[in-house]
Amino acid sequence: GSTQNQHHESSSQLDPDPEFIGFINNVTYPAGREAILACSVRNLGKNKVGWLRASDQTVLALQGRVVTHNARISVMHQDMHTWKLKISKLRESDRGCYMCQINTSPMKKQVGCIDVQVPPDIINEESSADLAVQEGEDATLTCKATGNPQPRVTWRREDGEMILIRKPGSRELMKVESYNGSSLRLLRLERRQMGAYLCIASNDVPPAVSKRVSLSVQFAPMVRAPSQLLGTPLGSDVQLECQVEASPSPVSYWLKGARTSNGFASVSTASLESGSPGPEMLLDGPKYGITERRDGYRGVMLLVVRSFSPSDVGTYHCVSTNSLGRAEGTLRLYEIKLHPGASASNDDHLNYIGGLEEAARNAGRSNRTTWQPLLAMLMLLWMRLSLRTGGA
Amino acid sequence: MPQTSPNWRQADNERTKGAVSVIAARNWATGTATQDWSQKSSSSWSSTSRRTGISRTRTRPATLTTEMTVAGRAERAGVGAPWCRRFFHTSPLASWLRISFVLLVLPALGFGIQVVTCSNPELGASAPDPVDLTWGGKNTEGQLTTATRSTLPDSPMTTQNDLITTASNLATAKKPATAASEAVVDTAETAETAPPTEATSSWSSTAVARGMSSADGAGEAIATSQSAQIGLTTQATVRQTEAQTASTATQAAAATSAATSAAIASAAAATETAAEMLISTIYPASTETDLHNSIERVEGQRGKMANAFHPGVPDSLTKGFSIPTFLPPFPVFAAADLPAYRAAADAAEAAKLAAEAAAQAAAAKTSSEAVTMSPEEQRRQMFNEQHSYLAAHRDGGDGAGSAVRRNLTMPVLNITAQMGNHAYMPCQIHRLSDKPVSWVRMRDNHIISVDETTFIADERFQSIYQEDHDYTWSLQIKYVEPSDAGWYECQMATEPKLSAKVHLQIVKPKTELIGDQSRFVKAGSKVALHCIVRGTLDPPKYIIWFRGQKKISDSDERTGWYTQLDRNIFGTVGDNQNTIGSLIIPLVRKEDSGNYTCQPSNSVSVSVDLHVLSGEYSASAIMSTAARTTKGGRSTCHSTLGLLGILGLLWAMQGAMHTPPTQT
Repeated sequence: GSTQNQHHESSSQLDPDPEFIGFINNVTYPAGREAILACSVRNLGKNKVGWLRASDQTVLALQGRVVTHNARISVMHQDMHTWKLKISKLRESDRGCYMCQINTSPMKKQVGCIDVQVPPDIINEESSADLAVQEGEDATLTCKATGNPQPRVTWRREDGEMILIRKPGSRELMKVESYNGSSLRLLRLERRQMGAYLCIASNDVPPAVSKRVSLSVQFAPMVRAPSQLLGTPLGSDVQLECQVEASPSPVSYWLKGARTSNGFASVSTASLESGSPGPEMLLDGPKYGITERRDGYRGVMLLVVRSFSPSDVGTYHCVSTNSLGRAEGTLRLYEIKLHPGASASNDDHLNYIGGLEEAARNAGRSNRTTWQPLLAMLMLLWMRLSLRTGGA
Repeated sequence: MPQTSPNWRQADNERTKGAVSVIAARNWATGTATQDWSQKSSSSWSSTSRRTGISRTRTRPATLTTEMTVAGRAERAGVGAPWCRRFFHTSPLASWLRISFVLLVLPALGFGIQVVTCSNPELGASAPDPVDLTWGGKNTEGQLTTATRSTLPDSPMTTQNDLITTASNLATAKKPATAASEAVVDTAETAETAPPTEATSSWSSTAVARGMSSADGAGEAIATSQSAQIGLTTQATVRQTEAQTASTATQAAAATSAATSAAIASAAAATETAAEMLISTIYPASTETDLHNSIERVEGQRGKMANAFHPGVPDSLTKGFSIPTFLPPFPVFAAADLPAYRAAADAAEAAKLAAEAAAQAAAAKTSSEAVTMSPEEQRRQMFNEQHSYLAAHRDGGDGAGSAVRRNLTMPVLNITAQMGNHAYMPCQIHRLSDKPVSWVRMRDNHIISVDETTFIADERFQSIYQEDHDYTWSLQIKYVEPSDAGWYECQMATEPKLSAKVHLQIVKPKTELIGDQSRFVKAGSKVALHCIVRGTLDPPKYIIWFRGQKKISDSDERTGWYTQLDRNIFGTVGDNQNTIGSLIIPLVRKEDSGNYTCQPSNSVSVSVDLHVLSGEYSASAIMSTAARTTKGGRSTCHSTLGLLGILGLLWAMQGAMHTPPTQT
């Protein structure tokens, strides 16, 4: 008993217990940088300091000796009290807590943690690829991203337009410049929503990353002819125009002539033998100039009839067809007559041309009144001849 | 000149239609096959659309013609509708014709008056204008009303044409110009343009002649004009009817020839033809990046299937499968329709199923083998794998990936130690590598040692190097305590680390007393005290009995007391062992009362209080009985007989206790 008491007294007097000075600061660094954890100890004496990774209990260092074979880990003991653990070229796997131990009984320990920041990255396997959806259906664009901190996912349109989003259960479309969230839900798609969308993942650790998702909204063609009745003098060039909306891209062509009872059946070898008028397909060449311009799902079909002649008078059809349907527009072309060599009075000529213009406007209203312009023209001719006869 | 406008239009239409017909005739068979092909899959529309959208080359007419043919056939069922619509529109047009006729008379009369005066040549030049407009409109509308009227002969026009010389000269003047223009356009059409011209001339001259002579001239003029109109309309109607008939006949002939050619051709030829058409109508290359990427992806996906189904023509078929991802490819349907390809597909499917079955069988065999292996065999196998791994990466500092690391994890080793003894935990990592070996106590992540350097302050822990063993750096814990139980891990400082876990269990022996804590016996009886030690890995070397503070010797000649030690009673030999220690007092006296203690060598002690009672009247009987029993006990030296003796004594005591009240 006396021996133990003496030993206890001597130890308490001569060697005070080691203790920590302050705390180990937690650090946050991007990947690739260097992290340092400092552990300060007072009254170490004969005791030892060791470093250990807390997540998987890996012994890293003992005093100044690095135990692990990881070349990126080193220990610095510059001043008397501080033992520093240095991890260079940080990796994501280095994230976690590290323990500084003093081999007292019981052991004393302090823990410091390292957070490694990772730039965002988009997971292609879990994100949407290019989509082709029919108009009226739903589509969901998905974009999954990884990184530390967890990235924010933002959707934008590539062309800078506003994103049209429909509220669930509502008919109206909201316009938003950007949409936050990994899933962009588009309900009852409209053709206006077709285009390229960008998924942007960012988490304040540069660089941000983006992925392009092309959304194709498919629908049957729609054709509209702005001018359905065109008049031009002989010998001049006249341009016929049709506006087309279609997706996927349609096959477009021009037909000339009224529709017969057989429809397309008449376009065959029989037409050559019979000689009856049927719709003929117009080809690009010296007589007809056929061009087509497309911008997205919209397009314009242009037909230029060069050196207008009486045989060019008639009905023209612009036809557009794709895998989902077919549509066509109808235009009529007629001749405007000028008399530069006539020696009659100007008033009569102006009245003549004015009448033609009035007839053209009436013709555009409906088909049931097609005979009215002809009747008006006949009356005008008769009045003119009667007046001239009276004058003589 | 103006009077030839309708003929001019007809000529132009016919020439253009001729060109179109030539193209159609050339592709008629192709169109038929394409139609059959498109019925199996709708990809033709999309491929055609895509091709046309991408490039506007000269091949467009052929494609357009094919499409028109398909559309025309689709519309064949609706041919009847226009007829109904036509009859419906006849009534309003008839009323319109009456108004037109009335209006026509007035300009005609005006024209006649001017001709008679002949004073203004310019008026004469402008006179044909109303005729041209009226004639064109009437010609178009007249076709619709001819079916209900009869045909009249043309002879009156010829007769009246010779009456007036002036009118004849005017007609002659017009003819040369018309003939010249027609010659320039198309010489073959001259015959068709002559009748309308003559009709017009005769009509004008007749009107003039009759107008001058009598009031009936107007009636004749009207009749003549009606006759001329009917004639022209009849001819046009006949031509249209002939056109329809010829068209129908041509289509029927084409269909028949197509069917015949289809019957003649073989299945393989048809497939190749369809594939070639598909290739010729699809342009795999595209200037658009997205389309090109998608095409390549589709080709990659379909490449294997194409090779499996069509080994004969790999190049053409591979080129032809540039189809968008949202449409099914053509070869799948073709394979389904042909018996040969269906058999090939079935064979491929059967082979696939067989391969899957074989894989499953192999997996089952592997798993069964894994289950069969014992922990020792697993440990040995893992040890060998570690050996291979370390030999391969002797110089590599950073080691291999996590997959290899996971495989090299050793199974858990369980070590059991008895409290107070020493525990030895081997580190099951091969000693090939010269890297440091560390021990960690996982309860509190305490570093214990690194190689021979001890970190933990507790001096009971030590790392021991064993030269003559497969394992190095075993961890020794002396005089283990219950708090030492738990997980310990040895690590080899590779990157990532190699580690082996050891679970240490501490068993604590327990000493129990057989019987009550306080014993009451009659003086002169034989007494046996027993204690049992349970749960030991090592049995106690000795069990010492004490009376108070005085140790009882194993065998006392004077008093006859002796002790006894029995091992492996009521316990399993392999695991825990039980040991019984006994103290035998042959003849107990009153002064033998006191506290007796059983002290095993490796467990705690237990005590029992012995109370010896005295009874005079029964003492002699008990003593005599005890003496008899004692002799038997000594001779046999069996504890069982001793126990039976004790029971007999108790029974006798109970009987004796009931006797004294009777005597009193």
